[in-house]
Amino acid sequence: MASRRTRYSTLGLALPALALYSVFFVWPLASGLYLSLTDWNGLAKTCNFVGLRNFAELLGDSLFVSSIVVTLKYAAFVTALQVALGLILALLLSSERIRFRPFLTTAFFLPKVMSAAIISVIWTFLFGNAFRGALGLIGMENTAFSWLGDPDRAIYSLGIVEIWHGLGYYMIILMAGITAIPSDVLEAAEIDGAGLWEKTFHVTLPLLAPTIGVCAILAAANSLRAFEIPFIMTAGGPGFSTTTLAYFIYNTAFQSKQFGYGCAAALYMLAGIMAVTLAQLRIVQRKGVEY
Amino acid sequence: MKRRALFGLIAAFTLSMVAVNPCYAQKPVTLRLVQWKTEAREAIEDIIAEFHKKYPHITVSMEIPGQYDSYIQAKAAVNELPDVVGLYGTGLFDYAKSGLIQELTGAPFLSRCTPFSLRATTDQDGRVWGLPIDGSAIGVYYNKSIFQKYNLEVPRTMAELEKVCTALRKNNITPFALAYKDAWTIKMAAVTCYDNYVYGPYPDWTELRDRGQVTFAGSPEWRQVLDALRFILSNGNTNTAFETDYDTAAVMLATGKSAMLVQGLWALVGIRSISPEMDLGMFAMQAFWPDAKLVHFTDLCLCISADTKHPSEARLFLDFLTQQQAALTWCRGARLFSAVKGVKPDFDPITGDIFAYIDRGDTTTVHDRTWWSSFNTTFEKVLQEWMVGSTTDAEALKKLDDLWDRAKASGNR
Amino acid sequence: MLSILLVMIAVAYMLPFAFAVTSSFKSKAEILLSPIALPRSWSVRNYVEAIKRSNFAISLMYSLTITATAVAGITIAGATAGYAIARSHSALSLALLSFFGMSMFVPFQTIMIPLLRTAMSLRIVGSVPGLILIYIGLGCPLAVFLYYNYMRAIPRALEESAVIEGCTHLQVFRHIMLPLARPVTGVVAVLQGLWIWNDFLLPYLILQKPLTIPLNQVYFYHSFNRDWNYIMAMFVLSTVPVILLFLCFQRRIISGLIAGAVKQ
Repeated sequence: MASRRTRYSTLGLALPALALYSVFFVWPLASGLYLSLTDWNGLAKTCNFVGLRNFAELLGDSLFVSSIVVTLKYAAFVTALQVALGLILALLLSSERIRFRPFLTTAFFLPKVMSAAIISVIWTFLFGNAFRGALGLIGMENTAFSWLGDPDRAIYSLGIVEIWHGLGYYMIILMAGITAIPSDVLEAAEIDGAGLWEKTFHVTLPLLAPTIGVCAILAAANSLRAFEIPFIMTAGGPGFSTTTLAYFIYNTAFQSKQFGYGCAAALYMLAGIMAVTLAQLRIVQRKGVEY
Repeated sequence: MKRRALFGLIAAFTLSMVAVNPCYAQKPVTLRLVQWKTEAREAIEDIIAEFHKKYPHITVSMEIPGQYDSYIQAKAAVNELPDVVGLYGTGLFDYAKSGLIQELTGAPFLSRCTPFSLRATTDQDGRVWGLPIDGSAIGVYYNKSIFQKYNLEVPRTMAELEKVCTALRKNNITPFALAYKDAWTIKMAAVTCYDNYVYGPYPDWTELRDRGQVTFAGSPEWRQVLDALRFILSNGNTNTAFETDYDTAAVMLATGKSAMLVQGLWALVGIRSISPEMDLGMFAMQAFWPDAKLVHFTDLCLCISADTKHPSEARLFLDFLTQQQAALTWCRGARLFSAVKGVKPDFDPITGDIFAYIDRGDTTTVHDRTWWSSFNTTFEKVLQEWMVGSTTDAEALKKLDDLWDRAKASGNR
Repeated sequence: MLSILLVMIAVAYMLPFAFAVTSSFKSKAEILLSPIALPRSWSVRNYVEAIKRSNFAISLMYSLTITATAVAGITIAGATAGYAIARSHSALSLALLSFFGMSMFVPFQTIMIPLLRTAMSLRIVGSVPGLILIYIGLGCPLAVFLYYNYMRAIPRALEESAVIEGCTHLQVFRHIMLPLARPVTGVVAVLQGLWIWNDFLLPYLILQKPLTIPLNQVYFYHSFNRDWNYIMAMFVLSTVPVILLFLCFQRRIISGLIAGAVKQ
């Protein structure tokens, strides 16, 4: 029958994508599942099957647990500020009253175009040498305030870099969302006597809620995977205060040569990210506002 | 008859040409060399240039990649280890055991190295796996001019060290330059302490620990190490210690902002590049233990990859490195000792101090060579965490114990 | 006024770039000794050395080649698969869609180690074409979704008339669907192109040589110390082309990124 032939021949078109995707994504995913059940050390040719031992050990590994805590702190901080600041900037830069809008948009967006690796290197210098140098001008170079050297503060300093990096992206998305709001709704509100505050809070923001939700989901998904910034800026230190989950996995596999263990941790990471993203989707869908 | 004679003559002529000038008949070969010491770049490149003059058909190309350990590990995993690869400590024997580097036992050039240096590349069965290149030391650099200015002596007791630090601080000089952003420098400070306080009384502490007869947490010697580290931390640029890196600390010493720096000999190149004429000395951390010795060991060793396509050229290069001229070039450029016998280490005034210790036999070697490798990489981070105050002494030592046990269980020495 | 304040903030936002530029003309010792002063002399020595040592020109070429080829591959793979799924009616197509959808949740770390192992057994570690294939494999799901979504909405009338006139499906795809889906192609090119150009970890693990721009950046960031002077020069060299490209194609890039985000 012609339709069956067409059905299969069209599906044949999907072969290139399927093939490469299966080889480089699905197969590694499956083999990661298998590796997490072994004790492979990355160098040897053979390894032993150890069942769920890696998963159990991880739960008792204080470094693993602390890396989860560090990652959550980082992600919460970054997501909240990226969305909040992005929203404020988007509102401002969508307003007719602000001048130089093209310049401002470009300026805030520019860091997004650069790679995390490159900006990490520069910010390491800024937080360390440049900051001390500036303090030195007023003779305060020995102050105890340290961006990257204070274990309680370091993870938030890294967060500042991530925020600087991605802020423009969410600002742009929100700006697009703002322009999508039909002008008759705003006009209707004005006719009803609403001022700037009321228009923003009772009309713009609720209509923008889905977009804000999308930004939050993207920002969270991105920051939960933080690797380059802690890797380059602090090597997970001081101590382990900036060792994120992704960095923990990298270290376990490539520094401590415990590949099986690292794969198990990576599966925990997958579960965690899925859980967070699904929870966020739930919230966004529930709070969606119709007008 | 005549034709045969002519043929014979031509053959003889060609053969003699090849015999006289072997390179004439050889294809050009490129050897890849990889090692991690950026300070030694110029020295090695000078040696490479000399080597190329002697063997024009061999070109050695050196690379000093960032993230050295994971780089060569990844290369090894796909059988692409460079022809000549720099290795150190336990890593060298890891690679030997996995069959990744060639055995060099019996090679004639090895006899030109000092027995002390060969210990770094000889395993327990007496097999040699690499060529030792340097001799390094880890101790406390000190600014002799500053010490002289304030009438300070090299401290041999705790009381003397405290006096030195107080005097320095009174004159607005930071006693110790601390570079603890780079956790490996913490290990340097720790090394000068534990190689003495722990491995001094118990040279086989590692075996004792493996058998469970001692622990970090239950060991008064390790507590001493922590006390010593605590003292150093509080007598340096404490507030900026964890954002100061290795290069910045070297600058602090070189510019006189700080008077002491616990580091290895390899830092000399960086310090001299800023203050070439500085009057520098080195002493062992005797303040905490009167019998303390200077840590003296072989750091850089060059090994030949087991899969190299040019084993004989690689051996030629290693042989060249053991020649007196190359060893001298090494010393002068890298400002490190040479593993070659009979090379006078007068490349820098500081060697006088170091040699004093060596002559008296007051040296000890690095003992982390016997440690589990996954313990090695996390050890300094646990100390760093302890130093910023996130854990107590007892917690930090317990963490080291847990780490050791887990490393032992995963079996990678 | 608020505008002026915002401009000042925006200028401060650009401070890191300014630092990199001024530092790039200093020697390493000068950078450490006087980090915020203007350089004593504007010598280009760092640039020359950095370019020589890190093969900057080569890595620029590699980055361009890898990004362009991989994006082309992703576009083709994604468009063909998206079209196939959009036009087939079987349950298989839904299965395929979820199959591709798996990748949305999975962080790179989860497949990083086994991917390296797969690459090792396929002997493509250190190979640039191998890296490109990996990028296509990892990057096509997003493209598949975007093309599927778009093509689903295109009325079949166009294709049916073409088939009646004797075209094969491949021809229909090439001459009708692909041109119609040009907006999606733009989005895919921008999203995946930006990701690949700036990617660090994957080339780091697979190539192990500083062959791309981000890898070059870390080349001078050694295990035990850092060559700040070369790092700064490299930073300026790496970001100037990107900034120029961005300024030229600003509008398209931004709209591409927005569309991509909204679709997710």
